[in-house]
Amino acid sequence: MKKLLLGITLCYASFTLQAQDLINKIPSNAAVVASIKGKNVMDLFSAKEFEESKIGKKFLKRLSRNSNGKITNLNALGLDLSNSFYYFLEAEKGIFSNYFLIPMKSSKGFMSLLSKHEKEKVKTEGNVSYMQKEYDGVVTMWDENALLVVFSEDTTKNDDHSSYDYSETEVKNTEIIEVVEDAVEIEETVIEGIEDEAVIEYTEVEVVEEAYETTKDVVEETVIESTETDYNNDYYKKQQERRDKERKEREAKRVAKRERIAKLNLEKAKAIMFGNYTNNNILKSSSYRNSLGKGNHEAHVWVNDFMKIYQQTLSEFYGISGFNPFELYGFNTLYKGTSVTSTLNFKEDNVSVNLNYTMSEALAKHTKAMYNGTMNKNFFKYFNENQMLGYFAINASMEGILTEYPKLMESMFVNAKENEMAKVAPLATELLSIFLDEKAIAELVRGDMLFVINDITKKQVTYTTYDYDEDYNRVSVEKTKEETVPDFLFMATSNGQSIFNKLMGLGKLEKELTYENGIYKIKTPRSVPVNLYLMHTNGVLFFGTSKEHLTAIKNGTYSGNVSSTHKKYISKNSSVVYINGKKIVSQIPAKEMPREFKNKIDFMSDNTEDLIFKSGKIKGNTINSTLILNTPTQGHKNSLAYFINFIDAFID
Amino acid sequence: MIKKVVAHTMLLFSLLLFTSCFEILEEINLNNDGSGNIAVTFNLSKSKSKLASVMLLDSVNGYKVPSKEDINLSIKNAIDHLNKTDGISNIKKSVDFDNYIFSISCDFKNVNNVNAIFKESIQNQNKREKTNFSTTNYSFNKSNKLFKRHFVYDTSIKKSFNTLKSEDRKVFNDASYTTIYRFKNVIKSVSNNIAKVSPNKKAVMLRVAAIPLIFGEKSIENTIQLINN
Repeated sequence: MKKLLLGITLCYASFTLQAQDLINKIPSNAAVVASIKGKNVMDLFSAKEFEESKIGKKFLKRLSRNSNGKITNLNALGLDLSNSFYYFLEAEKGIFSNYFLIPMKSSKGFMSLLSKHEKEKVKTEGNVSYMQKEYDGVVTMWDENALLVVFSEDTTKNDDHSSYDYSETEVKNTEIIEVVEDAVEIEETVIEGIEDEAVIEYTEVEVVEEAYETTKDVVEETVIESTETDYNNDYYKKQQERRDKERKEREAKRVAKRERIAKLNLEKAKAIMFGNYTNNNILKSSSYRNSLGKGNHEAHVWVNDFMKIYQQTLSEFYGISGFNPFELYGFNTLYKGTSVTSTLNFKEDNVSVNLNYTMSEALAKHTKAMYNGTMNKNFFKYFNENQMLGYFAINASMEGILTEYPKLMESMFVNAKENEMAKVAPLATELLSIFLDEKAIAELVRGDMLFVINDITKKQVTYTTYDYDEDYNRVSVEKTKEETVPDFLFMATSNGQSIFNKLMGLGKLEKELTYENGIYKIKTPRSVPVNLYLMHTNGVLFFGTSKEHLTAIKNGTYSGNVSSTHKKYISKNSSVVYINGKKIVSQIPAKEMPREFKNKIDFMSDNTEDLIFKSGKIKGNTINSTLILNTPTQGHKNSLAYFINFIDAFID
Repeated sequence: MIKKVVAHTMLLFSLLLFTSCFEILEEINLNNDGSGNIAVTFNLSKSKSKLASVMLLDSVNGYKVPSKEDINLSIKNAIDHLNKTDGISNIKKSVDFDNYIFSISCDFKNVNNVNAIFKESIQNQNKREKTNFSTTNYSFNKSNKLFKRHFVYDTSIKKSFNTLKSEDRKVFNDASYTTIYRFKNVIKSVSNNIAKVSPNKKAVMLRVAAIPLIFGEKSIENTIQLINN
């Protein structure tokens, strides 16, 4: 019985929570949805902690100034920071509508941020208030629970601006009036406040200057027009009349378009604020629901079927021109069902961005073959993790790339019959397949490669400068200086020793290479501060800067040291980039820096960890990529706090 | 791909650690009759590691990186221009891509011939950018033996510099401009107080760091009075 009661309570609680969440206002046809989970963020770093940080204090100072001292803390802003913030996009018949949904506890704080001029423009319908900018039609609508900003872009028809077009006067006038009014409002606010801040002043100057520039343009255009009327012949008059007529038509079209968008924005905003999407919101989409996972992320982005967005963008254009990219490039087959989900997670000791890219069956088939590589485990014998600064690994299949690429090209043009390119492209890919011996190329480079930056070393390099004798005659002298150069090693699996030997033979013949004890040295200009060596041994092609390293590998005396973590990263993914941030930062000569910069370098040295980006092998139709930045725990309670502390350290 | 990976790796480290600087050297040997020889040298040797990395790329920081062919073509164009200029002869060039040192020298009948080399391009620059650079860089009065290096600072230099990104400005931190003028006669006086007269009193050297020159704090303008024997 207790369990039943507990279950009912939990269900009710989750229903109530769901009902308060603004996700109920996002319609099921949204193409993109992004969210920030306020509660999760606040659990990591509270509003009070933010207010006490340097960046928080600066933010509040600015808020206080803009609200005439009415807002002095985050709570007074009226935002419901424990709830989720949303952005979503609707794409419909070439019109893209953007929505920002912000959870509110009270509208009082927001109202105090509005200028006197803006407050005069506020309209109210029931519990909902709104205002709309005249020149761009942006709607800001709010009640006591939510604030919504809506703006749309109409991509359906191009405005045909021409060089004779001076007709934006009316639009610009509206714009000028609003910009100037805004600037005046800001100025009034500033005059009222006693403390001046250079940055704000600068912004105001910019706004006023912008308004001045716009005014100047309009005046100049008017002058040009009035000058033109000096011409008095019939031909000119007819031309002028024609231009006037065309100009008025274009202006009428633009005004109509602007009004249409403004009307649409208002309708859409009202639909969201007054409408009821409880039974038809984005949670109805299984793709969206699945993308949420356990929901323990701080931010989340979901992009629905790319094809639908493309179709909404391009439908108007190909309808007119007769050119249908979906057919010609096989978009329908290759990109149908493509979607992206990304999450941002702040943990105690790292921050990660996770990205899932789901592709169509057809594209997945080609991609699988291209990345069906096997990483050479021998690579791990040839570098030392304790010394390295970073690496870059690719685990692809050269044979797969060479066989699948022509197929991919072919599938792009399979539906096109009449287009010239459609006839040529498959022919070209077929010729490519005939001429390329996929297996032979794959023998030379199999597709698995690893580039390791082993260390950075100091090297004496020479440079030429001048001394002068007693009579100031110039004498060239060679001096030396110390430079720090990277020591790197590139490895690629290769079974084409004989092809390699032939290529090296050619290089020797051209005197571009020298050979000693199985290692080739590339002739480099004196200006290149590193020596470059090539070697082919044990089925691996080596290219690196250290002869000693290559010699040790060749003699079997090099002892590699790679942890299972890095072995796993390199073997199990299709590509990986690893950067040992701490070690790289420690190489920056902080002692030689100015004192104020030295402190920042010291902070970085103490607080920088490593970074890894890995892109996994395709599973089903999905590729998962993750970027992880490890963060130190000492002095930072979690990775979000680390970022705030980092910003604070760099604020003067 | 490997070339690019290597180039970017080298560049990453060079941006972090390599110093970058250059020096420009302007030398004139002037005879009593006003004829002489001028040599201009761009020495980028101290930045050669960085340049060697940059030259492997097509562009860096949004700027197109000139290839060796581009540089050779520019030098050839300069020489063609000198060949067409009256009073200019014995044109020589020196191109060293190992050390990144480039030099052009020529003989002139009169310093006005040298002024004529740059006259058109300075006029175009003044017209295009509304600047006020003087088209007379050198003058020599044979009768009273007065040699003058003219230089009128224009604020457009500072403005152009300020449009550069802070990373790109660093290139000028260690750069310098040196002028050396050698005469047959003994020098009586020099107007620029940072100019040094050689012990034999027949040469004057003036070295200015690029940043003060860009900001107009120092100048290469110099009036040199020779003793009229």
